[in-house]
Amino acid sequence: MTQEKPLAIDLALALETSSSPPEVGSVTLGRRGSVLATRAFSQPGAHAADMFPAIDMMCRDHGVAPDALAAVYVSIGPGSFTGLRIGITAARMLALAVGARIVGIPSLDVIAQNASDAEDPPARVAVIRDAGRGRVYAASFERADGVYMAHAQAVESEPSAFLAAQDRGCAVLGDGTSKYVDVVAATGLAVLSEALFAPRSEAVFRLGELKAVRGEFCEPRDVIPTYVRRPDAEEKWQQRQER
Amino acid sequence: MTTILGIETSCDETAAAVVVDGTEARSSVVASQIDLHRKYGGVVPEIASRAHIEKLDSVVQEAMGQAGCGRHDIDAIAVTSRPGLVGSLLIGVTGAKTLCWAWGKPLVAVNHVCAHANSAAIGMEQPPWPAVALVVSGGHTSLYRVDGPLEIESLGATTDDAAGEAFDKVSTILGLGYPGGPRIEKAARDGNPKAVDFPRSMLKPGSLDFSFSGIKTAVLYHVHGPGRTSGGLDKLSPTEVADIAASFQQAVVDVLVKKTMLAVKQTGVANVVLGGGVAANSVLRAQLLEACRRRKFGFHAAEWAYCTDNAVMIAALGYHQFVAGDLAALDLDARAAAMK
Repeated sequence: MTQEKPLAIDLALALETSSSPPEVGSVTLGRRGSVLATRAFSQPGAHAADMFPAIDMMCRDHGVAPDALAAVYVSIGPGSFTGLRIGITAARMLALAVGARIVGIPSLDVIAQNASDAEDPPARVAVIRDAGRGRVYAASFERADGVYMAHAQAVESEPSAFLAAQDRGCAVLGDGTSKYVDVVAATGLAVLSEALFAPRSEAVFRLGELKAVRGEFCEPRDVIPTYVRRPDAEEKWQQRQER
Repeated sequence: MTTILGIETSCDETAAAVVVDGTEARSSVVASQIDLHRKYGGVVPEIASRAHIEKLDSVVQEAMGQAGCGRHDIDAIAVTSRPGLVGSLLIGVTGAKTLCWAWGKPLVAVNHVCAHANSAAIGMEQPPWPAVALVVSGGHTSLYRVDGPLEIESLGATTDDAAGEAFDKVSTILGLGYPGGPRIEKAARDGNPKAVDFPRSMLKPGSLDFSFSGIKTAVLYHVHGPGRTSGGLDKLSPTEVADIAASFQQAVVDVLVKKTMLAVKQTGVANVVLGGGVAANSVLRAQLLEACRRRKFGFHAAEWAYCTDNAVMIAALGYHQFVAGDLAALDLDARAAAMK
């Protein structure tokens, strides 16, 4: 990551494609810190087909030419491997095509910001995102100046083990909450509305803008998905070597 | 002059190329993933996808740099959209769509196997059409009738393993490593191709489809014993391994040559073209050439550089589609299956 003097970002595009069906992806166009427009993809999970028509329509509606984009903020995971690769490929190729600068935003940070829309925003939240195989991607956050800041990087964990380590006052959100209803209920932790579980590109834009104005851009080659988990084939190969 | 930027990510090569008028390759950059997949004995889709995303932008940049062209020199961008590993295809398709949108260029969706079928004609002043095209690789084994770059009709395809996939699996069985094609060919040089009479699956009479799963199993049981999947390799001498490699290779080549000659007979054309990664196998090239020579058919194999996956062939076929107005929209998606 490169640190530069504070900048005013004129036009920026935010991409959120980290979700799996039935959640939808979304894109946001913004200017100097304000959201101009957001488009959600019409078909859940169809990021590859739907993302560029959505970007194209949104930019046309606001008279924005691709060359005018100064920055791209992109959700980098953890989440759907395929979805993340679609968003990140687009961001890296936009950097190549029009020189847009990139800011990568952790996807659980994106989900955490939804808690600000709760009726009474909690001071601390835990985000758990379904990772399959009985596990979740998880991180905990604390609210400061209206932004939920992560205590640490996302981890992969059994939901019960992660939640057991959380402060009793924190509230839980993310699609892992729906998947592991009984596990979450057993912890006694508060659960936020299901309407707040999915990541949104407006939050990617807000978080991206905070970093961009501080000049916290990434080199395109450093922007890769946060997989957290190794490929299955690699894990199995490792297990065979250890036998 | 029409300049096409081609992008190919259908399997385990990240490739980009700049081609002028469908025949003149100004650049060709291929980032191979062979080293990443070697220890698994075959391509691992998730590992392939992870590697593509890290390479695509730099490969495109290098291809344009080598060609000495900028965005304003490019007339259209052609990308492999099918068939292949969907996760891998999506990286190339998304990358191509991004460039098209950002630069205001037309997008062309290219069928990877049709590009292989057309690859023997790249650089030829007089294309060899009409012809029967044999496309044989790690992911595909197909026969086509080709009447022109955009007139490609499927005649037959593998019903299970691709020939190149069988080479990889047999190479693993024989402990020869990955990729199997060159390893088997090298081992076979010291072996007797008639030592073991492995089955030649021809399927039903007149069929132009292929099946290579049976011969893979036959090799497995020959090495380890009937019904066994391990324990036999250590008992084989280097000569026996070479004999098995040579006999397996000969059985596969026999099927490929025989089916190709059958396709020529059924279609009545007078030319054969060969493309795909297994087209780099010198025994297949030599025996297909000899079969054509005996029957007085023309034979044209793709240049070595265009046998394995590459983006020159994508840009070359993309050129013809672009000229014909066969363009794709920004909602282009990747598809694993071969035909529309």
